[in-house]
Amino acid sequence: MVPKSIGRRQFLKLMGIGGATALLAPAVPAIMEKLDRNKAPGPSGSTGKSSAKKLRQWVMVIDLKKCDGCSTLGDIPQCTKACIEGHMIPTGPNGEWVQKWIEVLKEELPGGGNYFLPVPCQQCENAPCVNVCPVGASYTNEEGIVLIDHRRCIGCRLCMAACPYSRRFFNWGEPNQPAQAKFARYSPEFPVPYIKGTVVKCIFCAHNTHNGKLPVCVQGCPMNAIYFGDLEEDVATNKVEIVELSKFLAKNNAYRLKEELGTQPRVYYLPGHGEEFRGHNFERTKA
Amino acid sequence: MNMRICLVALFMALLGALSPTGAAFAAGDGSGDAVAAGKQLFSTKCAMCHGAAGDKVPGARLASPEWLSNKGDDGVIQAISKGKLPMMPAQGKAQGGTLSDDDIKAIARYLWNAAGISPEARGADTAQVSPVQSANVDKLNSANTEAVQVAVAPSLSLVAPTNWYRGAEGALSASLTTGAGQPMKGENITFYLDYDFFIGLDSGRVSDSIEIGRAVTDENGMARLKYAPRLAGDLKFEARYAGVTGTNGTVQSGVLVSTAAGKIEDDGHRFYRSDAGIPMPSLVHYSLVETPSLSPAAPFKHLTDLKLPALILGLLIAGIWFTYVRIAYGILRISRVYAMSHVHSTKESFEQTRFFLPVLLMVVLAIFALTLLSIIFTSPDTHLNLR
Amino acid sequence: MMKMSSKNSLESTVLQPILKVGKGYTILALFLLSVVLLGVFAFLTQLSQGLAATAMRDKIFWGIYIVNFVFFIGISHAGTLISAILRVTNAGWRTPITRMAEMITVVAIMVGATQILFDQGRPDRIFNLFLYGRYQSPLVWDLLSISTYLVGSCMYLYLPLIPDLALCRDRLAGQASRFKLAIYRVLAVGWTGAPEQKKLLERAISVMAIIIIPIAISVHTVVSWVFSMTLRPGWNSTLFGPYFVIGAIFSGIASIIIVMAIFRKIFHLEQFLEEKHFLKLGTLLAVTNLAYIYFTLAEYLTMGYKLAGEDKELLTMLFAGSQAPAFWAFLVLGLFVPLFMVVNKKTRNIPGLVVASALVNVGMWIKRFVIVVPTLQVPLLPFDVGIYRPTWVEWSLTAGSFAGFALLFMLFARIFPIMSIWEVREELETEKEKETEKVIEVPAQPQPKWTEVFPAKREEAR
Repeated sequence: MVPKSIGRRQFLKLMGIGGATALLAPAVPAIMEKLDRNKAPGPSGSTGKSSAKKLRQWVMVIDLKKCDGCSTLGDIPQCTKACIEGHMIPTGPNGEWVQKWIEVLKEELPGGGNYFLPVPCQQCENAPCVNVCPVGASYTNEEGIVLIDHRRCIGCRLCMAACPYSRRFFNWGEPNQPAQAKFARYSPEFPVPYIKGTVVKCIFCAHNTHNGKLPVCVQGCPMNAIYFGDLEEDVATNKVEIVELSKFLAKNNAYRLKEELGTQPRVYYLPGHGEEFRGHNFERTKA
Repeated sequence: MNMRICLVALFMALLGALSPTGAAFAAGDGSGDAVAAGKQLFSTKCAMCHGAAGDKVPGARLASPEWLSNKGDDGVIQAISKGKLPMMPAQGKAQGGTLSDDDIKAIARYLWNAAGISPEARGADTAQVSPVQSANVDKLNSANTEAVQVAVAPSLSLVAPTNWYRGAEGALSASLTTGAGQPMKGENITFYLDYDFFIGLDSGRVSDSIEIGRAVTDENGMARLKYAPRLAGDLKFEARYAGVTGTNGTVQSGVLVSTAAGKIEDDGHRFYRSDAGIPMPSLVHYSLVETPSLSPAAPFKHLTDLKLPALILGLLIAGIWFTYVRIAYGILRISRVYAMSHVHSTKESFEQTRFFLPVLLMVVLAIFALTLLSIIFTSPDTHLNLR
Repeated sequence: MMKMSSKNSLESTVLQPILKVGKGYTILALFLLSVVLLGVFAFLTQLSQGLAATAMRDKIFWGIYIVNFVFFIGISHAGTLISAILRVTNAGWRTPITRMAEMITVVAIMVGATQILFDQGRPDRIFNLFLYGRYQSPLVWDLLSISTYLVGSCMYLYLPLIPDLALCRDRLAGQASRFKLAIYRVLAVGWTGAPEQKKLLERAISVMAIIIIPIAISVHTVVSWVFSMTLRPGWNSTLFGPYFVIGAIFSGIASIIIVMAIFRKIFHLEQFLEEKHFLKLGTLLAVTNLAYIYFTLAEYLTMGYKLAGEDKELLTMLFAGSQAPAFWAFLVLGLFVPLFMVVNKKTRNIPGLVVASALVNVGMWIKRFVIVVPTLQVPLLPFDVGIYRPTWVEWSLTAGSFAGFALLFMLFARIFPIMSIWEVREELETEKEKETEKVIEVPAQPQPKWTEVFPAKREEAR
């Protein structure tokens, strides 16, 4: 068959396809690259794995029998203070606390009286904040800690809407952080210096735990009320004693906040003053 | 003969008075005044925080023989004198408190006495207390009523299983025998695991012995504890026997400790897995929260990561935008109708009658569609805890 | 009855604004421009100070930017309903309205999207949505749906515009500016009115009309899911999707009525936009009003009957607490008074409908505020409640957005005909034919007289 000379219709088609290819060609390598790098944000170059060899599943247990809001000390809550100082958290213009990543709340007892409830980020396994983030800036690392990549956050605050414990804070203006914060090297595990227009929260001191140290709130509690542990190895410590985690929780009727919402938090509370508890919901810690 | 029996009987009576009952605080240490004074001081100065039975403050188990033995006599006196900040203020006069040295010693005597630990056994300050071997204990051995003879103290030995894997149940066996080699039945043995949490930098290392279980010795004097360790490595286990009165009438005192090293292998098994999310029926096990596929890793990881919702959404978006492009093509055909008809009727050349807008529109729509689709199909993975 | 207008009257009336406008137009345009510039200044302030320039803080972190966003996306449903649904159902009375309705859609989506831009903490990172977007996130659903709807609406506006652009290109040659003529020539893509072209266009418009309806429904559904995918009292509801869609159609119809009345007045379109158009829209307004009352009742009754912990606090705040004035203003002024006005004969006319529509729009803005802010005032853990008093930055940006909305309309009216001339003409001709058929009832052939057929019988009877 003798090929006919190219007609007008075919010419137009070719022009269209050619033009489209020319315009799209540069995008193809970018798309392939994206397919390769289909992973969560993290410190540059890594996938967010911890530097320790063991794979930990961090958990916090707060013994409400021991916590008295530091009222007997006559001082501000030491856990909050340690956290704010340890992370150089931005304060208000007069140095007042505006972001309390671990906040000690005073709850009323049904029969009268109060008890104190320290509330850090609950590091939920089914974290609503991670589920709704549009750019994947909030992510859960392999150890179960929910981290934020502040280089990616667009400041939409959908995560703040989603968190049922109100444990996220926003840098509304230029963060009022100490001068030495500017010299820190940023990583999601230690998000200093803080960036205007992004969201911050408690990160279970991922920078500490990756280096073999306990979180600063655990270290700073004078009553040793905060235990920090590992669900994988089934241990927890409050820097003075070590306990077998599953038995500890079972024996002390541990409960979690707002269990019915299905967020599966990693912070357990040991009641002691008549707080409600939800029964034995920690079968997860057993093998 | 009679004389000896009388002597022994008298001695037994004395012993009966001395025997600790374990739970209640009793007087009598040879220097009853000191203990009574200590009891008085305790109830006025210490009981308000520590409770009348000494067990109100967690971490200060004043009624526990093990805890006291761990501390040792010196340790107890130091603790009372210097206090334990920030919870317990110093009590010694030198540190600004109100108690004299004699007062503190009296309180300490009272505590030891109440826990039933004889003066001789109060010395050591280390975790390991060597088995008590002394003539004092011989006196307490009533296996032989004929004569007070020097007998060997009971011994405890712990054996850890070999070939032990992390998470596998292994039996720790401790055997408790009398000095004469007779097995002791019905005694309580407590098992401990020495743990170093945060092995790493010195600041932050916490070492402690965790109680992992209790067992009672059987007829052969063996106490077995089934334990599934959750950590791997060279671990140190301990069995402790605290010397409570056994059914065979012996009265022991002191804490027997036996350690055994257990080497636990790690086969990489993960014990804790989160079950966030909900399984949905599909070819690939997936969920809204992307729990991991149970099948082994597929060759093209990115394609199998294509979850069904992403696929449906992508097809939907692709279908709609493809329709847009087709409509833009319809506009192109409209413009070509003009081009076709006018090339012949006027003198305009073909190039002048073509319109670039429809082609531009198609291209722009296609690019935008591909951008949106790329968002869907290359979404970052944010649930690393579920992998 | 619609008067039979000549071709020239329709064209000359509709094309007049393109050629010349009065002083009033210029003054209004300049005023709106100054308001927009105020908004720009406020935005620049916000960029330098960060969102600290607003009244939003950690407790109440979404404010009137989100309210405006939902509001504008809401009124963007106007175009779809009128153009697409009425086209699909062959309602002829839609023809003078479609162009304005489609314009409302396009402009509203554009303004609504900028509201989200104002609300970001890092607007410079907006492209992260494309680079790192997660399809599991409600905001990405917003992005997909709204961009699809924007492009679809632009195309749905453009397609019926082609014949009118060709008309402008031909009729206004020599009268309009060169710039406008160039636009007409390029955009008209060689439309000559040839039958093949007509066929292609009709097909394209029909396809667009059909697919744009589900897209429009999806838009406000995913906007509502930004709220209802969270665990907050008042938002944790399964009803939000349909609730918001009905609300959007409701406020959209009200917006069309207002825009129609304004353009009718200033561009002298009384001949073509008659009272019957307004009344028909008023009926639709009443229907969606009733539907919205139904959904509101369903939402608050199921909450209020059970009074679960945080819901109880929210409802107390709404019914009798700090937000009670807003809530009752919305309910009475925004829902029941307009319904009454539409139904009542005395107010069932153009001025009455315009007032009712204005009340509806104000009421729906308040309703969106009542959805967003009171929920954030309910503490989820025992701490203090926050207060929210929008700052001048937020109000300026809001005013600038509304001014920008109006300004874009005015610009549009200066370039493109604000009524779909060819469709109105077609509709007029169809009606003329129907009328002509009614008047001439006698068939073509003359019937013979009865006496001619049966003369004998008649005479015999005598």
